[in-house]
Amino acid sequence: MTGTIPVAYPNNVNDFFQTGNSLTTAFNAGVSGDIGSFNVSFGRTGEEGYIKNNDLTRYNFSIGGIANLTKKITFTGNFSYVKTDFKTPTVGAGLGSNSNGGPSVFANLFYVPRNIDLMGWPYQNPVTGAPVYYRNGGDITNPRWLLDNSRQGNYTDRFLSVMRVDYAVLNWLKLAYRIGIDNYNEDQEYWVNRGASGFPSTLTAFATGLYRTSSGRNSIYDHSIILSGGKNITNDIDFTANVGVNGRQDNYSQTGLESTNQVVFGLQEHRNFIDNNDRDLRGNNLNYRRKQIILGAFGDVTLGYRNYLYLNVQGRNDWASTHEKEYRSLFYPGFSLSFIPTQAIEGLESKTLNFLKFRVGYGTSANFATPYRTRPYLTLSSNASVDNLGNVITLSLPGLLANPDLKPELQKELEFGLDLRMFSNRLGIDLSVYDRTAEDQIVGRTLDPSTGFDETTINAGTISNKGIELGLSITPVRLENLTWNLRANYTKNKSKVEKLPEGSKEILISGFTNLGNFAIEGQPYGVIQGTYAVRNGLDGRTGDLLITSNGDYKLSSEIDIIGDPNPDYMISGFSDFVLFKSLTISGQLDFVKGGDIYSFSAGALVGRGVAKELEDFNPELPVILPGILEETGEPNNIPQPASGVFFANTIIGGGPDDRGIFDGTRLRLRELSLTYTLPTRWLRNSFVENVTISAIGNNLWFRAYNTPKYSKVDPDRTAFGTSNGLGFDFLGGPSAKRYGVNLKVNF
Amino acid sequence: MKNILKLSCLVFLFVAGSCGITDLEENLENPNEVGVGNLDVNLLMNKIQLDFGDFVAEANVPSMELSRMVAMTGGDVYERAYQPQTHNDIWNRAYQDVLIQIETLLSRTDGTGLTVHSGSARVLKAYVMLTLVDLFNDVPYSQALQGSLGAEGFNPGTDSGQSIYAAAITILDEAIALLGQTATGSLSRDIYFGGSAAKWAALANTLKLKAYLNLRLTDAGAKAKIEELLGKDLVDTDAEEFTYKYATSDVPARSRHPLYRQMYQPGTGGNADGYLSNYYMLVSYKQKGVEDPRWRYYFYRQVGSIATALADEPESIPCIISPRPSHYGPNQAWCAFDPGFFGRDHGNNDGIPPDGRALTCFGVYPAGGRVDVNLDDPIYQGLAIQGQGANGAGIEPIWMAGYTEFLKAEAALTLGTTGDAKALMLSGVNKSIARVRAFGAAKGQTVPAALEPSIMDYTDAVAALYDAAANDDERLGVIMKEYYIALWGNGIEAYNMYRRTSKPSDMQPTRAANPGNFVRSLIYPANYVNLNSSATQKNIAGVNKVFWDNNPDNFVY
Repeated sequence: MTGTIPVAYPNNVNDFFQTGNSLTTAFNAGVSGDIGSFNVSFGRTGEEGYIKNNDLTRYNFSIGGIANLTKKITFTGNFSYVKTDFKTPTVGAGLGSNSNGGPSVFANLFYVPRNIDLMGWPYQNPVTGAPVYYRNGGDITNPRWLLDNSRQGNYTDRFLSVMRVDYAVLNWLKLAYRIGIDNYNEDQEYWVNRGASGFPSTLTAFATGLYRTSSGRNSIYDHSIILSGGKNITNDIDFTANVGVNGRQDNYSQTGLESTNQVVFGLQEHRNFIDNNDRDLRGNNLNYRRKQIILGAFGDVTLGYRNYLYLNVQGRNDWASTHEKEYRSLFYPGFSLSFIPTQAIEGLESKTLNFLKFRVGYGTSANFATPYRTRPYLTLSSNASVDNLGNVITLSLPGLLANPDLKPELQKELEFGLDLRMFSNRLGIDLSVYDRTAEDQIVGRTLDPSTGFDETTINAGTISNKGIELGLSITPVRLENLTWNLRANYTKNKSKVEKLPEGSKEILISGFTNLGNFAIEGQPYGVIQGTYAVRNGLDGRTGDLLITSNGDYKLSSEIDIIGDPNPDYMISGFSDFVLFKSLTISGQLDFVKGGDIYSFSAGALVGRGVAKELEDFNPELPVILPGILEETGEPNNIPQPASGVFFANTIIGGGPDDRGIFDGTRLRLRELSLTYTLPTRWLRNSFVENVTISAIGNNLWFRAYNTPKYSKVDPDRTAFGTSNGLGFDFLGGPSAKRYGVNLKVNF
Repeated sequence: MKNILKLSCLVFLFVAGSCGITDLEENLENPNEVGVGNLDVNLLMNKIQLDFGDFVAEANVPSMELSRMVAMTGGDVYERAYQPQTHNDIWNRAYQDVLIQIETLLSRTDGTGLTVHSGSARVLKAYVMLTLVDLFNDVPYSQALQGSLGAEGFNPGTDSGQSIYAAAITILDEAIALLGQTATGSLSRDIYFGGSAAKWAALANTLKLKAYLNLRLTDAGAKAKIEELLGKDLVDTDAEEFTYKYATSDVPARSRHPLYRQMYQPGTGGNADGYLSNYYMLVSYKQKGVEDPRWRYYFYRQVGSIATALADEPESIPCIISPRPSHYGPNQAWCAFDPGFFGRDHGNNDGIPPDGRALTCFGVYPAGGRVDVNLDDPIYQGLAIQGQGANGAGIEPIWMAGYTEFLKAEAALTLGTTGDAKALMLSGVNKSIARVRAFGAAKGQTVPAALEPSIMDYTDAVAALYDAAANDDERLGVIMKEYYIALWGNGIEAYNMYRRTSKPSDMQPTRAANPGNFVRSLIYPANYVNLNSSATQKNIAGVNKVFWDNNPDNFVY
């Protein structure tokens, strides 16, 4: 047996990435006159990402206009068409050792050992097309192979239109009919060529090659009839009012097919696969339709006294088709009052106090359930399995429990606001203090299967969000040729689960039953619960860490709150310098305090020993974990090999989950830009009105102070997409810096 | 003004109504699924039977590890190897996929004359409840399956294991009574017994026997009950065996035996996943000095020798250079051993080396793999690839005819019930050997006569061991060791047997010297403990015995 000395290949992971690019072009033209106005615009965006085969192309066209057909009748219309094509190699959630489900480019990329020449060695078998990698057992798919041999694509055509007819009944009263149409077709594809590996045994069909397509069509029609008017009641009081009815219908239908067992390598057509299925690998139906209708009646009145006191009162009642008859209707009113002392009180307005406005408002809004949550049904599977006797057809109760008493959710918000401008508008303060309560929030509640079901939809009690938003703007320097503006925004929001419905002590909002975001009475919404390393205090959460007789952290039997992904507060700062009225230099810094993150990036990079922090760490030396021995109470003296420590006591190997929580306090240089407007005297004789060029950098630098420095954990890039999950990083792609140039020409 | 308003509202309603926009009541039923009025008891029974097979397969996972049939690799100490989320699937399958479907079926078939439906569903329900108690001890029963009541049903509390055992035995008696009647309709499809009420009744009697044997430690009346059952029709012929039978279809993947799918993956081979237990292979190969006639059907070795494995891939067997644990006895299994048996030891949770091409895989019985016909050729290498052997058409050996003999032998020896323990044991061994060979032959997986060990030699060796035993405890050890070998593929009974008798007494300890308390009952799953406000978790480091296990705390390891 010969020995080899490992040689490091610096940049083996770095070179996997490429520099992305993006080009956006937009064109806009318009004309207006007595008879009306018309405008047309066109735009194209093309972007290439930082890995191969990842790009986005978008076209948008729109035309619109207003036509004054007669003195009393006006027609307004606009029509847009947007075409978006997006593709990427497959990406999914990684757990520090392969991915949770389908193949994911990033799942095994970041911890490639330093002695593997990822970019230099071959990655694909030239005869069979299968991936080739340094792992002899074939249990990890080469990430370079996935770039070429896997794809997720999304191709959407969307048409939007709003058309409106206004009829002036009297000179202060108008009747309008408005129709909105939003229609899109979305084709999705997902494929992996055959030969990949490293899947759980329930998903080995990926290894034979998989191709899934689905085609969805969504249309929204929205009709309204609105009667509006405005008049002066007396010299001092004027009023405007709107009253109307509205009907909206949403229709979605989808067809899809998933095929496995690829015959000819590399051909993505359903006929090239042996097995075709109308459900995907995980049993989700690819063919279904959905329809919902909401009818509404609304009205609002605004009264103005002189021009310093305004009162607005509004109300709306909706009836939704997704709830049972008794719960279908919801009325949600609102009012707001604003008072401008600088207009009202003689002499208050001055060069020192330019403007002052107080406002108070109470608003409510409603949300209705998605369709088909209130009535039971049966699940049919025409080929649930194939056993000794042949095909098995099953009909059974589903895991979703219907809730006929599901009510719509009502959000209420009380807000106080203050607008202040002082010192010739050099100082501005915008303050808003709010108290928002969501009642009967509609959530999916995961159930203990011993109830007979695993999920139902409930109205989740009451959740409050209270906070403050303070905006400060200062112009320290205002000269003929130099202006310096500073703005800062401070936002603080505190959420709390006030009350949960009977029968729920805590509700899993998103994630897994043993690690995820929960709604718990008395806690902020979305706290993270997981296992923890037990300490010697009475409750197990305080004191010294306990070490078992094996030298490992003692793992808790139950889960408990280990982090809060909600930030404590956020501050954004903007600074603009305008020189000679034509050159602008501006920057934006964002600071977020708090907001815990559960990070597999940190866990995988440090746990597997590839992060730069471990440069001087000698893996041959045993490690003694900090803590006291459970049996004797003495300081720990049991040595463990380095691999034993990292696999059993970090989150990549089933260690306590609280080892993976980091505080997300971070500072980010979000934008730096330089803009130059060409002097108009250069353009006086051309048909060009003005030209502006700018150079912009986005996301140029960030630092999350309480995470391992070289893992570059970015708490703003978290995993859960459009669901309610917060604060989890499952080895998604790294966040990117962007540099760009922008050119704008007006004719 | 008023007229204009009226007119516009009418126009609006006309336009909107013609678009179907006022049909608020017609969008509540889900158009994508089947309405509840279409419930068909036969299709529902299909679901119950299919997911019951899956429940057994999933319950086998932790129980085969704890009884050292496959290697426990989730952790080096018991606390780490089984965490709450490990058991989510068993819980979900038992309650949401099987038990509530059974309740729905019974609500339709009870009192209608469909007695085979009602009877067989009750037998399956009793098995699930007995197994849940054997695995977890106290579980929800009387308060379970009531989610449709709304919030009051969301947090069922547990019933004591003892009361659930009593309820299960009552259910089995009800089933036997129903199965004795003449049915007005038969099962349209029955993967277990082809619709035969007599076979379902034999199974019901046998499950009662199994339950009473578990109760023998704590229930003084068990002996009389067992004696009574010995006169009834039990599962004692191959035709009456209780097995779920897999097939070979690619889609859906669950068509094939799950253990086959793990080890015989599609492609060019070398991707075998999972580890058999080195201890079990040592016991089944030649521990008594003569080869067991079944081992070539149980295991399939991808390599003929350790040297071949190392020549193919030097890093494939890391335990070769690890020190042998000092607490292992001199005859204890450790690491791979020749001729080419390569599994893992109990509690080895190391990362995965490139060993997919050298691992020993499941054979034709019961996973539907390949029969091992390599005659001591040290350079042999044959990778396990999907499609080989019986192509996954294996079985879940839930209750084989041989098992009944062993139960009778244990009862005869420990309780003094009718029968000669030694004769019953040998009968069980012979039934097991005959069944395994017949199973292989039926799948076209036969061993050439030159390689077949003599059955007579084997049974003689077993008889000699029994005769040489000094006392009843050693005799029980011999019987249980034979039962253990016959139970290959059924972890549930092996786990029960080990906790009840602490036999086999030479079980391989964990690689770690201090693994903590043996898992006498599984920790409650995360989807029970974290989603149910009535649930309290067990102490993950505690002893946690099942109610029928009153043996001392350090009885098993």
